[in-house]
Amino acid sequence: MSLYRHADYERERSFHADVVIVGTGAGGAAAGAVLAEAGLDVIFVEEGGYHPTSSFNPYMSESVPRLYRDAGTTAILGRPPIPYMEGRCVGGTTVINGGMAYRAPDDVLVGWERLTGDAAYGPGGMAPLFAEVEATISARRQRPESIGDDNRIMHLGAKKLGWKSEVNPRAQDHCVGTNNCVLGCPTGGKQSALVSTMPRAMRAGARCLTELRAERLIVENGRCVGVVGRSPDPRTRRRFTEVTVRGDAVVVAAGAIHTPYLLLGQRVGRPSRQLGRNFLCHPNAKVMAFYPFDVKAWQGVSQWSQVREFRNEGILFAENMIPPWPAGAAMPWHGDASMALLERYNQMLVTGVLVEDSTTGRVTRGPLGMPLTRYDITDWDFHRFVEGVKRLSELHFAMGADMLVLPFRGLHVARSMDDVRKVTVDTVKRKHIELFTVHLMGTARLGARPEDSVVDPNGQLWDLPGCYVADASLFPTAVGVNPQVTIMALAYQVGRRLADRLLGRRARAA
Amino acid sequence: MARAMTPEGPERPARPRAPRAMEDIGARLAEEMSRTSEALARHPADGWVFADPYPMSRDLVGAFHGLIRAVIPSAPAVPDVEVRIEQQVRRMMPYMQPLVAFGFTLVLRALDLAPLWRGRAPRRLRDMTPAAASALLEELERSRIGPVSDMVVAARAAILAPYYDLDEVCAHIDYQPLSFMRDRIALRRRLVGGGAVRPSDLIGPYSEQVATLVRDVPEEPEGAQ
Repeated sequence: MSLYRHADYERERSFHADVVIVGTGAGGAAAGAVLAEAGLDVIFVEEGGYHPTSSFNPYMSESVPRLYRDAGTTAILGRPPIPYMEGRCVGGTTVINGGMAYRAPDDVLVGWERLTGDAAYGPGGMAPLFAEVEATISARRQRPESIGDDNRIMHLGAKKLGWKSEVNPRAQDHCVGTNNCVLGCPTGGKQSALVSTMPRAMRAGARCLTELRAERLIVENGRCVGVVGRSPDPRTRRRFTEVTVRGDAVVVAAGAIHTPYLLLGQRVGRPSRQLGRNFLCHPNAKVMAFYPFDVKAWQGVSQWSQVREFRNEGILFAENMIPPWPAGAAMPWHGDASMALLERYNQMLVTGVLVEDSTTGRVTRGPLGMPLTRYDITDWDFHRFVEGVKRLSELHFAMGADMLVLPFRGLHVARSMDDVRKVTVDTVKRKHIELFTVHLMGTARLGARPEDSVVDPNGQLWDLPGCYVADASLFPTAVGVNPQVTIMALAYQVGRRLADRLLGRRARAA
Repeated sequence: MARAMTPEGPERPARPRAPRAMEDIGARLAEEMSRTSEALARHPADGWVFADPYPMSRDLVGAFHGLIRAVIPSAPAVPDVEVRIEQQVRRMMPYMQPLVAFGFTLVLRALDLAPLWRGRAPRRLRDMTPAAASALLEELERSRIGPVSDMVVAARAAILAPYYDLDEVCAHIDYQPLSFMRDRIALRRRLVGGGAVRPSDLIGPYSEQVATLVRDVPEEPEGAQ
């Protein structure tokens, strides 16, 4: 057997492998693939369930609890609070993300090289890893038959205003614009970890323990030698079966919130006290536009392009169409007023203003297995959101939109630029901006010295030998672009170095 | 290559890589992970067991139904809409953090009693007409007290998300993705199999306005990076 579910733990509650990997998202699956292909015995521990491509559908009713952490009710505390989405399934967040495939910019990597003291994390060292990742996930521009009218309006609108709009590379192979990215791609076109790196690992003999949440690390003689997990009864979600998974090394790749949550339970990260700090999240704000003609934005790929004219200010615009259920839930009206807008769903275009972090937050351990994440946007972020929303509104009105729903509580409706101009940092409060994020990064940062980082350049915790990190937690600083490619590149790096070390030890023993 | 400062652990005997049979099982699983289906079923049969609904007393369910009536639009008429939304939310609650799920039950209680603590009427929200209850919720959402406003936002999102996922409501707003998705799945199979793109495979333009745009400003050509 190579894939286990809750019922299987009645028969088998103890496992052993060379490497135990916590998480099967962008980082965990990539690290697992290179370790398994190197000939090592790999076991994944995945909190979520296994849902193959054939199970994906356009309905939220079962898809959200199946695929999303906490059924999509997760939020970062702060002023304002920021809801976030994270995958909880085999393939992790890559199953529900948009699949943007950008490399970390060179200026960011120059900083990483300096912070880690390791040329492998600089532009030259990362380039071949990026190329390898791009080949793995088939990162490329969209085919014409996947492009819809919302893509055209955004891209051509930017051109009309003289703004730079770049066509995105996306993790896709023959994507045909089904636009179901947020509930799993039913065509198999999006190259999530579920259809790219996880199959590689499974073909190489890896095992995957699903529906099993890693609760604590096993530490013996000062070294991490496994994890203890608990699998909830699928019906009640109250009774648990405890499972022990031991290995020569443990790679934690549970994401930038749950990786520090797990590690903080072990009281590690002490030399620098940086574990859980340096949290980054690329917050974004939605602008919903209504046009006096059909757009049918639910047909065609999400985010064909990004408006990068204001990249130097750390501001990006992108279209990001969503199904009616999150659109209706996010609208600031209920009853017939809500329906009046949703009856124009085919004329609606959902777009976002993404702002690069200018501050950091912190993850701590809360009660009942709940991480607490705190992040407060700065005055500078608030200013950029207000300006970004104004500029994006300008694009929509230039393209013929007749109404916008802005992300400011109390000032939602704009029917012209005159309405938009009423929004200033003085007329809206910072706590009343409605934000959202899917990019969670930076809570177990890489570094050259234990005094100011959590893990060493091999990805190993400075103060817990045998315990590695291979996800977005590693980011020493924000990347300012969609992080999937960078996460996978770092995971390849950590996985390869760990494989070299374990195989070297095996060779010496032989 | 940088080296960790920590010592390596005790050595163990070499373990053989996965046996052939295991790799065969893994290969089959790998193939299954990517295999598509045109079923697009609301309740896919992939072996996953759905949790039982979150326990609620009959009284709390009554409060929830009252809130649903106040939040959902008056049209279209959807059979058993209150029960269907209530059941859907209760089936999602076991997957939430326990504190969040319990907090939601407190929100239901607080909003049901809102006419009393707001001093609007000597009865509960569930006993008001949907229009009056809806108006009270709008008033609460405008409250200067953050938690009061947040309660309405949370309840509205929890109710309207499953509401706009109902087949009848999707049909009402002319969002019918199944046939489109099935066509796209078939298209991708054809393209992966080496088939050529036909003009009918393109999406849109759906309006003269966008058609004009495309004519006036050519799109970027498709191509590898």
